[in-house]
Amino acid sequence: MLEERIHPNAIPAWRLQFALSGLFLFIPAAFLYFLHTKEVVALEWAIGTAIIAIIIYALIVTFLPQLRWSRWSYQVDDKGIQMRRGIIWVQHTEVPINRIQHVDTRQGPIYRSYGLSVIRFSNAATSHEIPALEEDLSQKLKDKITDMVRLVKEDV
Amino acid sequence: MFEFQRLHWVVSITGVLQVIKQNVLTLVFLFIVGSRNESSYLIWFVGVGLISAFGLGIMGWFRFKYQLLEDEIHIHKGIFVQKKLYIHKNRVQVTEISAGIIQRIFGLVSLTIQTAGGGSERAVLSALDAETARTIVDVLNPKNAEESDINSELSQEEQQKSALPDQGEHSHTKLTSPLNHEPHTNHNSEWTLSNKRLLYLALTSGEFGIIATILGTILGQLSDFITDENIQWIVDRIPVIQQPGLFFVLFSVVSVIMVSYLLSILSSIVRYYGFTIRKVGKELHISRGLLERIQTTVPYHRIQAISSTEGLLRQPFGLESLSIISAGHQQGQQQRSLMLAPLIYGHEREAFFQQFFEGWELASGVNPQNRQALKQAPSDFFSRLDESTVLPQNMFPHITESPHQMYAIAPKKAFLRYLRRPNYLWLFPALVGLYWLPWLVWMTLLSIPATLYGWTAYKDTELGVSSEHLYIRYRALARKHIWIPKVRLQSIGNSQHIFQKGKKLYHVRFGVVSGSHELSVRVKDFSSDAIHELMKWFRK
Repeated sequence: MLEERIHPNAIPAWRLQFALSGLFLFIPAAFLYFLHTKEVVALEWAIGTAIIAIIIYALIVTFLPQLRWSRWSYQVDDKGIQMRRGIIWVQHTEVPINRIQHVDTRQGPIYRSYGLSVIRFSNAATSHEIPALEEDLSQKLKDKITDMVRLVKEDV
Repeated sequence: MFEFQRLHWVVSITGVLQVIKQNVLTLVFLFIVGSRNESSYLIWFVGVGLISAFGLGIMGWFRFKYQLLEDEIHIHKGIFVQKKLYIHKNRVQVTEISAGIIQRIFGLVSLTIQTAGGGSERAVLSALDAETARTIVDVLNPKNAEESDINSELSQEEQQKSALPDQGEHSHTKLTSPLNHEPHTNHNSEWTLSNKRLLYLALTSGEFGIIATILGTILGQLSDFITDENIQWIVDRIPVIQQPGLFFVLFSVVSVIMVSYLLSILSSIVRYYGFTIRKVGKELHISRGLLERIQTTVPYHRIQAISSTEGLLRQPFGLESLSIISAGHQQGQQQRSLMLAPLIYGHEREAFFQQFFEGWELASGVNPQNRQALKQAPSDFFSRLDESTVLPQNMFPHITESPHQMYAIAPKKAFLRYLRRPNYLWLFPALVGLYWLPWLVWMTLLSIPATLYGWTAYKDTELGVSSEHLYIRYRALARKHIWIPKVRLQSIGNSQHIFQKGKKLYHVRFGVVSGSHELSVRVKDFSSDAIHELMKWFRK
């Protein structure tokens, strides 16, 4: 675990996100039910798929946000930004400060209602994100990183 | 030099050819469709298309203007929407001068200026006389840029060192120094691909597989042509055949392979004929090509990494090819790296690095002696090994300021994982398919080549760090090596799967810029101690 954790509000925010996007899990069941009305498949198929979907949906919405939050940590110091995340695959990434090209923050409607925002920093090749930081903190972090980058700026 | 200029008018013709080349499939389609109905309507259609292409070519030429300023080039182009492209020399990654057949007739060249990043940040001046092109390249040359002036008072040798990427570390300490008057024509070193090597290269290029696939697909499309009558026609002319069906299949397979092999040999020769690289001051000049001469200029401080590939056909002979990874954006080219030495013996590599990349460490990788020592070391620590001495394990101190090199190989506890991994590729499909197709049991025979592959992958995986460079060797079908200067590493990461946890093994990933993307180099199953030391090295 690294020094900093993301904001605990991430848990309800993610729960809401998963609850919305998890609705797609019910599409196969709906489709099978549609086929049943056309008398192509038996009703049992649709019910079975719906039950599986409900179980997965319940698991995702109840356990996943908490689990994901507890596995996310990061650390920003004068050398670089470190991120550690993942439940089955634990990933650890480090980006040196002097490779960072630009930093931005963004906020969707769900994050806004929980006072969270995402900070993203890009190097010459790709970009990395820390999700769900408190708005003020992400602004501060952005300024801090930008200042540090200014001090050690190198060319690509 | 300081006003807007147009390109040579030949551009309008090459432009038309370009349009035709891009639409060749449409044209072929139109002709096939047209040959079936006999109206003259199609000819009109193609005619109008050609005329408008010609018109667009001329207008494109008319609207394309460039202006060379003291340290930047301005380009205005676009027929309906005018685009203005300003490129400053500090942003130029790679410049390329090439001369195609049409351009050669008129004694012209085409100049491509590549900058970093995606989008259309690439400027092509497709018809210039050779002299103007050279002038532009000289103006956009980074050797006049302020950041490389730091060491202008040092000796020649020191200057080349400063051109290496470690110089980037100091670039923010801006020193004011007199202008650099070094002439750019002093040819320090040169390396050429001999004709004998070109032949080896052509014979062993792995391309024929790709061409064979393409040819096979085309042949499949020609099923109209492959009728019983046609087969009979061929069979009648070759009297020995007993079984026409079997013969035909064999015949077509063999001929596809032969033709594609020949094509691949030809294409390699056309591309790499007369390959020469030359070190000129702070740049590398690479020239190659038979029909189209291409001359590429890469400033040393734009080189992101160097990689080497030992193809399956080449490794038995100890041959490999070296290429440069740069941030230069080459849109539409599948090959994103720049060839540095198309064919070179592994044992020549160290001398080659000495000649062109003085200061790049770990050129020869881990020598067999050190490897043996690493294998026998009781722990999977990153081992610091000098040329000959092997320190006992408890004397491996943590990384200090000394410039020593350190190596690690895949640890013993990862051996079985390496052997198993390639087997999953056939195992899972086989298990799924077994239910319906019982003969898939024979797929277990695939475990022999897969395990052998895993074994070689285990043997080939190694990693080394020095004060300024990272060296990785791994196998992805072909055996690959990559050298990355520490200052060019964009990110570093490790990941651990739940099944690796018990053995304390990690995968490691290194990110480096290649074109507009990130090239991720991965090595699998390294011990946590090695990872720990590696992260420390990276943060230092």
